[in-house]
Amino acid sequence: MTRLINIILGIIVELLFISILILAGFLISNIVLIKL
Amino acid sequence: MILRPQLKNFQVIGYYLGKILIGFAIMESLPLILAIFIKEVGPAIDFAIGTSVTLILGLLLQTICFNKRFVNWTEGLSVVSISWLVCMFLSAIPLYLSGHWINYLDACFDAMSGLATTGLTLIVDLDHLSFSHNLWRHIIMFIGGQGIVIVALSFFVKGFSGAFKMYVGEARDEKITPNVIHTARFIWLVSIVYLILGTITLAVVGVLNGMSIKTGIFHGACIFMAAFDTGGFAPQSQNILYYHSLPYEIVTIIIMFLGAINFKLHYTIWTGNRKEIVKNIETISIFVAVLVIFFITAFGLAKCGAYPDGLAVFRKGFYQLVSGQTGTGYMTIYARQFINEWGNLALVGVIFAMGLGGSVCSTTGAIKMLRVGVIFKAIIQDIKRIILPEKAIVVQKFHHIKEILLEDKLARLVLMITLLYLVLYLVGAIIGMLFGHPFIDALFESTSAAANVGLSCGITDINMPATLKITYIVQMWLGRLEFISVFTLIGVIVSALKGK
Repeated sequence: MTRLINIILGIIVELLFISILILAGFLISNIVLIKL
Repeated sequence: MILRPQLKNFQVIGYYLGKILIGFAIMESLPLILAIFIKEVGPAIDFAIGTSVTLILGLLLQTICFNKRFVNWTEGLSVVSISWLVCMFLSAIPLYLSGHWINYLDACFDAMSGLATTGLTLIVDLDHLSFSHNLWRHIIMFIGGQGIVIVALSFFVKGFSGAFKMYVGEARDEKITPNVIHTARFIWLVSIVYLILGTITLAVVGVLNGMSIKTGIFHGACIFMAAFDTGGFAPQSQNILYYHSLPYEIVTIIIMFLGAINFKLHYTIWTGNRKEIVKNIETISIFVAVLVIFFITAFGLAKCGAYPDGLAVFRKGFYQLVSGQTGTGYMTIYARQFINEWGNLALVGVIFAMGLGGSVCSTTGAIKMLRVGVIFKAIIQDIKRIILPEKAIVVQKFHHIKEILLEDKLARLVLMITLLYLVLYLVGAIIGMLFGHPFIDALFESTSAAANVGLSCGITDINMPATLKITYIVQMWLGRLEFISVFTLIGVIVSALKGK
């Protein structure tokens, strides 16, 4: 059971990390275009 | 003095190659089963021929070269490099028989592109390729992503002595668990868990976009396999552009990143050490690299006015950049748009991303983030040595699962592999230039092939000269195996010819 919970939490952490990266990419897309 | 290899060395190589081919034949029977199940008669015959040839060759090698000796380093590394070449020739048979490749060389190109998880393709009329052939393209990409030897180690072969030597030969120099078979099985666990999650998500998005459930699941599975294994094959000729869907693009970006994460990091996070994701040198490096390079790329795109708004820059620019950085090669633009619309600065950004790559012990190619991080740390170490008093002892560490002391020996090894990659990119670019392509285009395509990415600016084409096709095949092979096992094989051949 603990192993399963660790896997689920692990997946959530990985997805969170990637989501932040994608969000940062989206922000850069908009900022660069507005500034130029 | 070079020692000539003896017959027993070749016997060991042949014996283990036979084992791998039997495993490969079993995988090749999957599209055969699908073809029979969905009544694709012609493709079923193609796969029956292909599977039979692979199986017979595997059994013959096992019988002729039978022995019980443990494999040594030279033999283990040679087995890996030969098996990748032989598997390329064998997996190309059903592809060529389908009639969708003009000649056998083109089928071999696509087979190596699949195995090396590159994604460059020379297929004709992909949109009318049979389901089973399409599945085979994605299966060979999945096998290549996991590693041909990993597949054999995990499921099909028992009593595989010297497994670690072959595991290392496939550019997987990190043992996740003390036992290499358990390591191989953990890699499969991660892949299968994400295969289920990813396929369901993509299928749901596909169905919401108007696909039938059957097509949604088929496309979902194919796209997942190619994205997670950072391959880049797609069931349609327009690649990801075919779906015209922002949710589909975001899901594939997530899958591409997941594929670019080190399996050892997956293991660490999945076993409870979740803080590792913000401490690891690779995740920090990829985070910084993606954002810095994307800033340059976005700046280049904005300068040349390629796209009207931020969302378009994100969907075209960021997508292509992530695709390049993770070594996937999925595209939401047409190949020639790189040349015609992007401008040199944005192109250079993507070339940088492709050249650097994702994590070690993942399915990506290229130099990889651990090496980039180590080089950065080594530079800091050397600067400290210069500015600090002579008697000061400079100790540089980096965090990768645990604190690791940066020694000169490690820095030298990392710089050597990095240099080899840079030379490989450049040699391919020069050969491309010999065929009349401009430097930036030739470098783009060469880096894409050698870093196992699959983005194309239009050079890869059925009318490409055979020499260039062979160049890219060799680049994909060398890039995927990270040189050492291929150099070992070359050493064995040279010593067989010139040794005493």
